[in-house]
Amino acid sequence: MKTRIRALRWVTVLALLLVLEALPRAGLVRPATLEPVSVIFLRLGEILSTGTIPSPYFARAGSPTLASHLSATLGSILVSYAGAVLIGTPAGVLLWRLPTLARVLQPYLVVYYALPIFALYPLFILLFGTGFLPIVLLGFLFGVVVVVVNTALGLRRVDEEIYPKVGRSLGLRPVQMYLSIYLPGAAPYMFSGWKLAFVYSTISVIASEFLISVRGLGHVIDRSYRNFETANMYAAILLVIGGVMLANSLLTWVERRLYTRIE
Amino acid sequence: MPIIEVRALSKVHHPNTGAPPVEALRDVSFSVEAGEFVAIVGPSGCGKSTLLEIIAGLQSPTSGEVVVLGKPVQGPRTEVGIVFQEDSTFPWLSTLENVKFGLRARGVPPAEQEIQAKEVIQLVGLQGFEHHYPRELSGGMRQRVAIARTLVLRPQILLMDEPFGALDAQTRLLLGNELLRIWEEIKATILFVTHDLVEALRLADRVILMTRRPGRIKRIVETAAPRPRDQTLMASAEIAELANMLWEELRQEVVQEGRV
Repeated sequence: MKTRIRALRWVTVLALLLVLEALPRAGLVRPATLEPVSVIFLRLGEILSTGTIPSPYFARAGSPTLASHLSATLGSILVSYAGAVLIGTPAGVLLWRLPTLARVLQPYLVVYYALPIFALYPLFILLFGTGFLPIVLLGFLFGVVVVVVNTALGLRRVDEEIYPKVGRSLGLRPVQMYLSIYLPGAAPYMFSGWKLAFVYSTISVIASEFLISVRGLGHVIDRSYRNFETANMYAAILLVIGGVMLANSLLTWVERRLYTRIE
Repeated sequence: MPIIEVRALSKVHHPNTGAPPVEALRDVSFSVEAGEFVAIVGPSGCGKSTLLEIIAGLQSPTSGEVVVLGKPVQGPRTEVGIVFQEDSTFPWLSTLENVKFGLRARGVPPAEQEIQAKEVIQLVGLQGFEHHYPRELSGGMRQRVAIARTLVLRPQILLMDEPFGALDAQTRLLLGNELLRIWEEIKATILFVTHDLVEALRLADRVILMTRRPGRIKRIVETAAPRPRDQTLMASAEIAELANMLWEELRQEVVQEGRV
């Protein structure tokens, strides 16, 4: 049964790829909209093996190498994500420790959660220009809230459980309470916050690069699209999807290792 | 000198939700001798758990005091261990790690932790499950882990808050017998809260019957039955009479509470 389902999954993917190959070849879709998948994959292979984007536009712009864009994107994601985790986690702890503050901030947090921070990008350009800074700030602001909220939520859940009482009855000191009770107890919630923050930061960085940057994979997608370099555009999209999938499965693997001990 | 002295204890809970205050305990006094097995029985919500947590130093009384081993209780003490009703095993730790938990917190050297933990795991009959996680154990086994985690610290006083309350009848009976065996082996003093009269009579030397909320002491009876107590003894006329008498008193409390 399991192998049959797995086989069917592959069949679905193959069928989809065949359709995507056939449509442009049959002339049903214009090449500006979609190139045959084989062309796209070949282009991706070319970009990866030569390290250069075959494009007159990027050659003229002086940024033909994949490395220049990849490093910009990865750097922005890394900095904004690290900021979201390193600032958001202690902020969540603070929010849990100070219930009054949490109650005061509650409505703002709800609004902030729902707010498309990204819509403020013109303001960020006005304030910080078009470099690395506004992209990283947007990525950070987009990712940080879920870390704060999940950290506070996880710790509050531990408080609802009996574990802190057990800890106190066993004579744990405050530091031991944090490290041996609250941290492992809240870990699943905290980790899913960290995982979501990565997704949010990545979305924000790629989207910002569309609009603000002259570097980065988002920028490559946007410029290729505007210059009708359809194969380059799809190759860059594939690269982004592949990278996110890789990072996500890495995080899921870590998370599962964490969960098997807990659930 | 009694090992536990509860003197004129009262407790009023002030919920921080702004709900009206709840009087949980009113003027409760009793004492427990070293080595005794005392059961506290009362209707649900009569403040039994509150009483136990005050003795454990996890809550402070509104008035009155508890003296344990000659010293007033001001917080959790190493001589006192408590086992809770709900599953309190740490799901992120294996059986062995759960049992070692308190030893580690007290800075016992790792090799010593291992020896003591394995000894207690043997005592509660969990050998072979050292490396299982709580999710892989049954409810009864998890409660054994929780008991072992408390016992490994060698408390002179063991407070048990309906420790078998969440378990099925057979497991309860079995664990009750095991508890008596352990009690005889470690020679601790046990204060055991339950709402099950038969369980109380089967296990304890003395049974303290409490009223509905606010909890007061209604009656204290000596069971005075010889040990070990088997099923024939539990079915004997004296025990049945005692159970009927206590049940009649308990019934009045439950009915007046309007819970039936």
